Amino acid sequence: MPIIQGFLYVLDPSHFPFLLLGVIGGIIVGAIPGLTGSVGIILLLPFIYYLDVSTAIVMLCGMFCGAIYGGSISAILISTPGTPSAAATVLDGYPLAQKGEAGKAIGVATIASATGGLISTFCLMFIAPQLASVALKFGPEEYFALMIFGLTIIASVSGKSLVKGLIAGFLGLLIATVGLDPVTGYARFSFNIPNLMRGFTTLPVLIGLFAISQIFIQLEEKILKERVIHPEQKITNVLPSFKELKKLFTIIIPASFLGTFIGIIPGTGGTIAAFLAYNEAKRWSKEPETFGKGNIMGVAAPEAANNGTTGGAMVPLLSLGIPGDAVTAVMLGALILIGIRPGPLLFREHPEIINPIFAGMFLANVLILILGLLSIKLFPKVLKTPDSILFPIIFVLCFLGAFSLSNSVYDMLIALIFGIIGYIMRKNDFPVAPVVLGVILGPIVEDELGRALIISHGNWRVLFQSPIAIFFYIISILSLLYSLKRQFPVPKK
Amino acid sequence: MGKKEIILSIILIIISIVVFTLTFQFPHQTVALAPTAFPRFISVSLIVLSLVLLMQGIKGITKNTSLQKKEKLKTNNSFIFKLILLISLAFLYTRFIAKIGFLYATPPFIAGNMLLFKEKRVIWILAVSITTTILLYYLFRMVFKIPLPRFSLF
Repeated sequence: MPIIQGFLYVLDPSHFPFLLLGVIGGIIVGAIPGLTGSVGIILLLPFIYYLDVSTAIVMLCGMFCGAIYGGSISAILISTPGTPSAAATVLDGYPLAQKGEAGKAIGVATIASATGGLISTFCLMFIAPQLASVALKFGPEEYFALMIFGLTIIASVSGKSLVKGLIAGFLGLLIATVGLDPVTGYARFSFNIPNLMRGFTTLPVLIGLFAISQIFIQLEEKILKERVIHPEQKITNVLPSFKELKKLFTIIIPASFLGTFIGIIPGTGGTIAAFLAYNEAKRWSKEPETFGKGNIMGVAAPEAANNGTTGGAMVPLLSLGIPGDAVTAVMLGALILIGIRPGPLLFREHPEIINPIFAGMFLANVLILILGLLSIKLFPKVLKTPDSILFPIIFVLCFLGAFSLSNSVYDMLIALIFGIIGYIMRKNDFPVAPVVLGVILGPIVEDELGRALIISHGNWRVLFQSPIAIFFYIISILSLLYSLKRQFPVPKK
Repeated sequence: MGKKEIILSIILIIISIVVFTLTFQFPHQTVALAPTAFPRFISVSLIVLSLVLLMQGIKGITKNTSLQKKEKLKTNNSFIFKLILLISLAFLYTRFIAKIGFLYATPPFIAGNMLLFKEKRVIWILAVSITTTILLYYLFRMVFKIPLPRFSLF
């Protein structure tokens, strides 16, 4: 069976340590407020260039799953979600810690996260190949429509202002037009500068927008904000009793499926899934008034759901090549950088990569369970890492990452420039995730459109003749309308 | 929404107009997709969105002037000075690394960063900046086989 080959590959002593390192790195990155899964994946890139592709992806999967789980640690211990998807965990996690039950809260978060991740991996294994086999029938016009749908995710990750999100997305598309035009080969906006002719490479742009801008924000927080000293949390009674565990699983299992389902829908992500699961847990609870005051169910539900989105979000990413949220957008960029173009062809042309991904996701969640429960007492120490040591080292790693792609100092400068742009954008409430989506999806959209028009001898009507393409246009419009409705809710009479 | 949005939308409109104008220098293409099509579509969309942002900004400035004053960023001069220092330090690092090499350029860069992040312990600054540089140098050069810039007289 091919999946067993995937497990044998990942468990091989020359590959397994990389998965382990990925998960540990992910947990640390997720636990430290200010560093997210996206930053973790970006920082990992220079270290995985020299690995073979399957090992590199397995390590990225470890980082992805570990970071989503890691976010719960700081949410529980210091009331600050390490990643946005752990925001719902704060609601009951921190009150539990204040009651002296931090150990139990992290223990339950670990069990829920691992279960959510495992269930979503099973769903990924079954759904992704089916979806990919349907998508194999797509021609350039269907792909173009699919990528248009992918671009509508910009509206979903726009944050507070839809207009600003859309502007950011179009800026990303504009950045992607610099360099050689995919159809004619003409060097656009290059002003005869050789470095500009090859366009802006994705990695330095990602490093700048996500990681370097974050360093500037951390500096601002360090200087302007008073340091809050959190009381030392004692970690005891990590494991819940069997009776408690039985009760917890009545919420962990449905929350995991909910998270997986939400994750599959592009443009949603872990934060929405976690809050939805939290609300459902509260609605079904016999004691809803205890939520927000330290109900352990309020930790289990969001943690199962946000880790459930990991496998869910990989479904559209692997089978269709469209990212589900900001982290998977960075993941898509990372995969393209190591030479993998996700999409249906990946399943047909590179089956040797698919099975290690499934096995890697599965084992990453098993590792989360083992490492989470065994190293629980170390977590408060991770949170004490001084900013004055952490961020200068991250800054050097950012530059090394930008440099190592093509051994070019120019790319370091590009990373710095995009760091400044990212900082200005974030300070003015422009989200940076849409820029990344624009940079990554823009060239694919233009390429597919060009191919469709070449095949049809310039007949634009070809774009609207395929029922599949029309289906994607309709869901693109629905997705945009949903974002508009969310942005401008109709006032209740 | 307010003054900032007005300034940013005006900057974006100017950029979009410049981009749109530059596309007239591109070669004319009749078959399939012209190299001008995508940049023009993007710049027109950006102009429309920037106009919406401009309107929102004007609306916001008349509505929330008192709120704006209250919300005025707590940004103080010390931070702006340190941010400029950090960016200048990073810029100098990207310039000097090619000339003096990774091993000599990195310790002062890390040390400068640590000072800006309010690290006061000199021993720590020296230890972290030197150890990190050496570790990264050997990791990248020996393990990953990535040739980091080295100092050379010629």
